Amino acid sequence: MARSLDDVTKSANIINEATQHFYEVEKREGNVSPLAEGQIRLQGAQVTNFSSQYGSESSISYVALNLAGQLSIFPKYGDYTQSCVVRTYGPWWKDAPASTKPYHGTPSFTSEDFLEVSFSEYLYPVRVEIYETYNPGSVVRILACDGAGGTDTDRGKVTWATLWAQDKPQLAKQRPRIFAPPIKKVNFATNLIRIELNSSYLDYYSELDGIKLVGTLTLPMDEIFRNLPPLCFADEDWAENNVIQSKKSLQNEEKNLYLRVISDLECKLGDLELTSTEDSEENFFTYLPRELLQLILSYLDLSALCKLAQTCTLLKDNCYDPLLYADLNLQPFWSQISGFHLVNLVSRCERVQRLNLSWLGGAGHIHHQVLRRLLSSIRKLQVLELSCCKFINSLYLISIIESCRTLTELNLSGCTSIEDFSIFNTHSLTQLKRLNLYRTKIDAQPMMSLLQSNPDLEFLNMSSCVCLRPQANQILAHIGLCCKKLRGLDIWRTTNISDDGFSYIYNNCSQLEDLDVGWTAALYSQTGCFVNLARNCKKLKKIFLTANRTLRDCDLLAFAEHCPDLEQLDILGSRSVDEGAILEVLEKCTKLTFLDVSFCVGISEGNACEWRDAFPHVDIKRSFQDISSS
Amino acid sequence: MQSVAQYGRIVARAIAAGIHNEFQLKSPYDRPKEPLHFVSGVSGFSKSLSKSNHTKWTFGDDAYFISRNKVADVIGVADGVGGWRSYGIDPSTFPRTLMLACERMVRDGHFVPQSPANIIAAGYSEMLEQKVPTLGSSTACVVSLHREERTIYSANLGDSGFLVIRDGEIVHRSTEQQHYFNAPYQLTVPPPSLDTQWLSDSPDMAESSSFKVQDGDVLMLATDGLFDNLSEDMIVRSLVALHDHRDEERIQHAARNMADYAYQLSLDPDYMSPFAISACDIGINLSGGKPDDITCIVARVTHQSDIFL
Repeated sequence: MARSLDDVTKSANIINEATQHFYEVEKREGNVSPLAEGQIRLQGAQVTNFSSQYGSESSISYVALNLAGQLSIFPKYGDYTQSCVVRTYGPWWKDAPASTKPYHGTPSFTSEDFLEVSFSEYLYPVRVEIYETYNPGSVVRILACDGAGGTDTDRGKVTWATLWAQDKPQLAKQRPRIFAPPIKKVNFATNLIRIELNSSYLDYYSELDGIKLVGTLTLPMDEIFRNLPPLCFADEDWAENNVIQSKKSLQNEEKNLYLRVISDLECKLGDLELTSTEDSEENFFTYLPRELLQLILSYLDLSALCKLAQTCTLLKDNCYDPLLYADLNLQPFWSQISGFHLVNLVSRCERVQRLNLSWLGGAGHIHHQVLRRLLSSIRKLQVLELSCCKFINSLYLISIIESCRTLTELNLSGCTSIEDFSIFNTHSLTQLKRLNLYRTKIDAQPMMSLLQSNPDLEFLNMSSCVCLRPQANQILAHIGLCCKKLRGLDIWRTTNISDDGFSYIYNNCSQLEDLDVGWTAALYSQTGCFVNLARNCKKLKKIFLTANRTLRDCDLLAFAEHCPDLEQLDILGSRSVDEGAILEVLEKCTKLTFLDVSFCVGISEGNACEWRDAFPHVDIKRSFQDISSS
Repeated sequence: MQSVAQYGRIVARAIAAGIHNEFQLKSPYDRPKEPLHFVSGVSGFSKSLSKSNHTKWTFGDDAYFISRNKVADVIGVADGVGGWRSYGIDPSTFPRTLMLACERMVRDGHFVPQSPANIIAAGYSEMLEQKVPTLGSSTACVVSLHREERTIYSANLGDSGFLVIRDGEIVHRSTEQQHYFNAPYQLTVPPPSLDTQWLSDSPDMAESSSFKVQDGDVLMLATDGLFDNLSEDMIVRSLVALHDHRDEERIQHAARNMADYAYQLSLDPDYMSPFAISACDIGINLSGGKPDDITCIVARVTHQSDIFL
């Protein structure tokens, strides 16, 4: 973000230059990107699946379905409603009190969100063009689906081929861009492309205008891949020069830690040599105590463990030891796992405590009995993540709830196929500390049963739950009365919330640290709700009041006075907030690291630049639509 | 999927039409029931001389859109309520954003062609999804021609409106909706406050209608800047010639002439405009035209000789 108005002018020039470049290419060649002979370019027909979206469920603004269809913005650059945007970006959600502990292993899997787009015809992919119109650089993987492939026709296997992947998200200049990396040649025709995104290094939300698939109707020659014309600007030099310093130092620290551990291990192993006699049944590993072998194996990730288990019986016994699977993360392998693999894992799953099955289901059918068998074989499962599992419906939910009585954390975000949550009325879980129901269709009755049975609930995410809207205030009242230990509440886009329900939250949940009430149109500052919130919940670290048009100076002054631990504050789109109040927050809340003042009528870019200079530890965000007029 | 259902419908209709024709005296001039589409032209004037017409699809505080998708041709107008200017709010932002949202919905097919009231309602809810706080209000009138069904569906909220002219007569029109003189029904996003002093009508108040059209029908969709200055006879007289012409240039010319005519009359202090007449009816002694933003879309319903998108 800009430090001075000169920076803004420089950025504006870069953006305008890029936009002009694309306009000229279009004028010259009839299309923003040239097409070779024999190739067809198709725009996305429909977005069939996605992990999250910034917009409302039935809206056309900032929603995932904007990725398909015609381009609406490109080659302009800015924060426009016609774009496709995912819910989160940057480190902010990971740094917030409500963040979950990351899973161990698989550092090469960095995807946080995904979008699947279908096309009207089957093409052999030659190029995938992603039109980025704001904060480019979020795409980390591109996959193509071979629906007709796989020989396991009875098991309904679906294969996904990775066309392109990069572990470290790229750093790109802030300007409109057609992202079209060199993709691997595959020998099948596809009509379904999946892109995986990681926006954690970006300055603000990454916004995409469209996706186009360039391909041929018949298997292409290899030369086509070698002779593809370059499309976007060369960003390599930019990436070299601008690695984020703090992240780099963290990686160095971790590397040093690993090096130290390895050298310790080397000392402990001493001078053992690898001897091989003709018919010796002993090997190197038999000299080691089992605990030491387990220690070594604990550094390996799941795929390495599986491969190692195939080498010899001793290693197989050790690799299958249930204690190695306390943290089981299957999300990185979503494209390969079907019910068959889950059955094979059953023997190793006794001691699993945290199980991540997010994103599964895309690679083959998983029967609900398989899931039940897997979950029943686990003695005391505490954390179960099923984010974006489209195959989970009411039947599966029943299997899950009946098999896992001891769950303390349940993540069902994005499980839009569940229509009936009434299982919670009869067999509710009782030990929940964390519950994520983002974008599910849960309705009021099961929700209230869940709240009544789980008084220890600490983190609740019921954002974008459309079916809860009619009784939103009653549900908030229930939360306040039943869950007094609440530390994090995410009710983003729960539109009918007003002070009637919200008052129960601030009057009862004094331990609240993380609160997101963005895009809730009926919370009026004039009722005093925000001042009361500040007075009663002094431990607040994160407050998101995005698009609350009623916010006033007195609310910000209340936060400044009563919430000294405040770290993240979002007041996007407020109409009547003045610089003075924001300055007060900046001065009094010394632990502040994030402040979003985008589209606030009373705040100019000049204000933002001044504050960035004066308070360098605070990342002050100010988004724009047309940079020349911001 | 939709095209399969449509194809099925076309086949079913063809069979039904075929059977029907077997039992009827076939006139040699009977044309087959081809789908119809709009050939349209648009013109208008902003009431303020200083504001030059740089913004796409706006004339002053009026906004409009013309769009089409696989199933229907849709046109719409929205007249921004100028009173917001005195509160420091630009009255043209609301109608412009509303029409852009409606246009995008039509273009991407997120609507039911038989229910333009839904387009207005959805467009209105999109106003609340803007990050930039958008305030203001406007009327809205949307007409959708379902090409296969050869029927227009309309939804109107406020004092903009449309007419359908056939053989020199008005065969279908919209009804003006107003709370009181010069205060039309309007969609509003008011400044957030607990008191409700603003006129704010819900999208369900929109009046819907449907009407079967024929080749040669001329539809005119306009804001009150036109209807307040030209009487219906004058409108019919200007447009009757279009029955025989189907090229876009001629239609654009007609729209331009009509808007021009309305603009000239609006500045005439002695002319008894329809606005002046209704003012006198309620006891306000007025004469002359009504200077206002004028937006006029003229669309001729024509056979589609080749199907294209």
